[in-house]
Amino acid sequence: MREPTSRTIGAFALWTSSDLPGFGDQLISRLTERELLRRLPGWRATWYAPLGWTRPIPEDGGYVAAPLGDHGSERIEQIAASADASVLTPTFPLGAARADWLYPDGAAHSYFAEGLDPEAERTHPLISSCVRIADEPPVELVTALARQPYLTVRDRRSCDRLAAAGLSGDIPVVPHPALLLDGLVDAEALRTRTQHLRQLGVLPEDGSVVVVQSTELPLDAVRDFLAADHVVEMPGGLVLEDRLAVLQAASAVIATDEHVAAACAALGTPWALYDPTGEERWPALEFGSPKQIVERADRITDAISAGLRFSASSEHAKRAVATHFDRVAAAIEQAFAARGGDLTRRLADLAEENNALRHAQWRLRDRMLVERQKLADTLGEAWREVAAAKADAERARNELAMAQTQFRELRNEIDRLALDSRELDALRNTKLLRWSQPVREVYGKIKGS
Amino acid sequence: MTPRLTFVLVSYGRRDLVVTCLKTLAEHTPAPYDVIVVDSASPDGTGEWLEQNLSDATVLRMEKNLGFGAGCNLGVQHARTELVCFLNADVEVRDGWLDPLLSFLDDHSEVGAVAPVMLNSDGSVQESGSLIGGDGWCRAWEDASFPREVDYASAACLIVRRKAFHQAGGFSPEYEIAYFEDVDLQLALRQRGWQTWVIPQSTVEHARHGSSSSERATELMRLNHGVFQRRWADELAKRPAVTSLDEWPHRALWLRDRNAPYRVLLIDDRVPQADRGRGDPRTAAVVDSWIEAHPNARVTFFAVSAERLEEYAPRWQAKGVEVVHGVTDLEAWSRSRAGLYDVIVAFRPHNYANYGVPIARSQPQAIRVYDSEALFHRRPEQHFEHSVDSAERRHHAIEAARLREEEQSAFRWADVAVCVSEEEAEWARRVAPETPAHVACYPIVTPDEVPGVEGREGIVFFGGFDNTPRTPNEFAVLELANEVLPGLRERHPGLTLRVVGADPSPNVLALHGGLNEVVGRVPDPRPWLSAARLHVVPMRFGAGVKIKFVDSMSAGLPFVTTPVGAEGLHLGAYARHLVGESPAEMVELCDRMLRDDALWSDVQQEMLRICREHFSADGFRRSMAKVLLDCGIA
Repeated sequence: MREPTSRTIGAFALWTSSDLPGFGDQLISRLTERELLRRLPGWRATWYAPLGWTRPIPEDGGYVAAPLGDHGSERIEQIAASADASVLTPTFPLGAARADWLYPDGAAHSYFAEGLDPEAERTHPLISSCVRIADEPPVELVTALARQPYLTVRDRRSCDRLAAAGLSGDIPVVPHPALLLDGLVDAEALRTRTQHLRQLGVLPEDGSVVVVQSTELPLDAVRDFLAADHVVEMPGGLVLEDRLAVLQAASAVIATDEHVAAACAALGTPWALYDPTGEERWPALEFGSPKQIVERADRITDAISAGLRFSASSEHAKRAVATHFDRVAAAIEQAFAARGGDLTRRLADLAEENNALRHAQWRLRDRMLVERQKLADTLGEAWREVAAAKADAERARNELAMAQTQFRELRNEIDRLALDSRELDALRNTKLLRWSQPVREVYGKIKGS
Repeated sequence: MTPRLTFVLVSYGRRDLVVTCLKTLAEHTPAPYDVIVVDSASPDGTGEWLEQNLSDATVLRMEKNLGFGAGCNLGVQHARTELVCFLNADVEVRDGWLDPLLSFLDDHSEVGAVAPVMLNSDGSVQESGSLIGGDGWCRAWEDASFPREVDYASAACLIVRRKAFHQAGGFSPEYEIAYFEDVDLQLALRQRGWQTWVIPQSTVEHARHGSSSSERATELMRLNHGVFQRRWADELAKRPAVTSLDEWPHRALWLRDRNAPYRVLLIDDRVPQADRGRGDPRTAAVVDSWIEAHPNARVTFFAVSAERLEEYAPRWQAKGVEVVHGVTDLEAWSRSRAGLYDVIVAFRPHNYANYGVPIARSQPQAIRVYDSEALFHRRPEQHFEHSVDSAERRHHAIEAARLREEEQSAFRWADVAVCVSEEEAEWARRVAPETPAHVACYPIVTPDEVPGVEGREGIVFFGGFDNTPRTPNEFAVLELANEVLPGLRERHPGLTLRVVGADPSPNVLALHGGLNEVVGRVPDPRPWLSAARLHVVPMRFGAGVKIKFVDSMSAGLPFVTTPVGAEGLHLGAYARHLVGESPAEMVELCDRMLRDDALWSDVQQEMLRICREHFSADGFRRSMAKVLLDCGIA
């Protein structure tokens, strides 16, 4: 292998909300990382979150994020140096007022409201991936987003809000990343988790289950409408794998947030969205039918009815998400190249690695052929030996048969002789022979003289 | 400080054990941690007692006894840390047990679980990971001399990345109360790309005070064995049965090493002693190349001699190398590993003949590599040339012929050959045209800056002596002291000589005194080489590249030597300043290098250039990569 003289492998950072317990907080971070690493194999991904590992929670599933920390120049420099680009992928809307901030003491609020700073972002661009925008976004946010080489939102309302705030240009609306959920947790693990949840009583041991995210709904009506055995409230405090297991095990899900709805769409679980706030519907409209979404609890059976008809997410929406991640990866690669990363060299290295693998494979194959030849020769030798042994055996069998025949003939001869012998003895015992014995002896002597 | 680790204990009665375990844990675990105790519905009130009395732990109580796996699953559900450690209450941790495990996880992102070595109360090894046989039964492995990836390690004390645990789905609920669920978990981890390692630097004592009666235990084991066999039928079908291991011992090693991407056996005189010369620094670099090509490779080093084994083997074992020594019945040893190795590397002709060939008989599948280290027949040839005694000359001629034949045979035996210089590789290609011969000399890091001529003084001789008379280095230093230095000191009165090198022989020690100082072994020769003005070695015997000169060049220290010493050093036109045949010639060359600062500086720059071009670590790595590629390893 050649020794790289320039950087051929890059790094990207994810700014997540994975230190929050929400289903979407975990889901979007994990999916974004997986999709980007699929497109940038071998790259290093670092997670950041406002509090990160300083406040670990069971729901984070052991995925560790570094705390973003103070929005000071030193920390900004550290973050910018740690990767070639940062991808912002929080579930909370960007531009929310500090008073509505989900973290204590406004921790890391500035990162999501202002980005790094224009100087740092010249060499370390920020890329907002499928974000949402709060109502009336502040001017700092709009300024920060305007600096980004690639900005996407996951609902039209966010797009409108940015346009209203003066952000010009086309802002793509990308459906929820959860539509690419397939394979994030493998089927066997999901089965095991479902069994485990049943064992612990989180899910009923048997029967069909409707999962709801809100108990404000008319649960009996839901159960009756779906002819379900159980209605279960979506349990809290679980890791992503467990929550996906619950959603997959459900015969239908009534969600109250866009993330659960999107996951159900990907899993093929019929879903409806109860959205009393009027905010969750916007992203859900990018992958679901408007009929699946209701704002009033008493209309929920209509939504369920629609959900049973439109459960699966469309291939078109999935393709749109996949294309989006292609573009994010391309934007990261551009940032990498701008920082001195060598994409051409990377290709050359990959080609060289490929050649090396081919050479090694050829050597092994060559070796295998030699071994195969030796094996075949040994087998051929063995076959010859077996054939010779068979011929020997056949010969021996024939000889045995002949010997047996001879034996039989001898036996017959012996039997015949024995019979003769017995007859002769009998003859010798007759009176005629006994009494004529002296006469015959005399006759013998006379004849002999 | 935020804890990184949560201990998960499952109790069923025996609250005294839980309390003692947690107390020992606190005594020997300085890092912050969380504790979750899950009581599996103990009938004796243990759960209630723990809930009331364990103030520093989260106590969870199950309504019915669902067993170890379910208890652990529940515990992990409540854990918030990056790592979880499943700990049986009858495990007693020891001082320093945790750091090696955490360090290993930090350094190896592909490792999902690590375990210490379990010891019995008498200090003997109870389990250093276990083998899983094709019949679904497991056997504890008792050799704890080096860290390795294992099929599984007991969850009596096992640290797992929480995310890996969840990815694998956790402990399967299909199992009854206990047994086999930890085996299952680690196969599930492996299926998802996570590895499990046992780290011998960490040990704990496992008393095995199980909560189940032995009859009940047998019944549970039987039941869970059936579940395990059903769940992993495809995986088990690829493995030999544990019950066949006594009759076919080689199968145990197959099972031990089945996760390794390749298995290589390296055969040399002794465990490489990188700071003692005699070709060992290069051997060490070659062994490192085999280790670094893949972290999971099984690298076995067969040391013919046990020389300084206790001192040097541990550092190789810590790198994951299995060190084998003291083999008395070579045939039996080879057969106990029949069919195990992908590659066999024999260093030096005598090891090829005495060990490589017999061992290879039981490894017909292995690719054979002969690493010549040097062409050994050259040395008796040189003795033959220099000797005046006819009996001696005859002896050297016979020895040279024998070694030449042996080396020819070694290169022909090999599928791949490695030499230290292009000249030697050419010879190998001539005698064994079918064998690809690579050149991998010696890697050295050349600093960007080295001390210039100012402040340097005296002459240095650098080389190991093996505490043996009539070695090439002994001949060389004696010639230097007796035939070169007197003439040189006439021109440079007060010129000092320092003899640096391990194990000086009596003749060498006798040189000490006056202007001569016999320093002996030093941990790092660089300071000595950086302080001297000239390195002088009138070397008459030897083959291949002499590492001492590469060390000298990388320290920016010019040397004067003979054509034998200069072999393979790529000196080019500069040889006229550095290489002399007779002592008188050497005196002239040394004199010039001691007087002419400009020439000295010019030579120094050239030496650094040669080093960077021909003896760099990158160059060596590339050469060894080609060797591995020819062995089918990429």
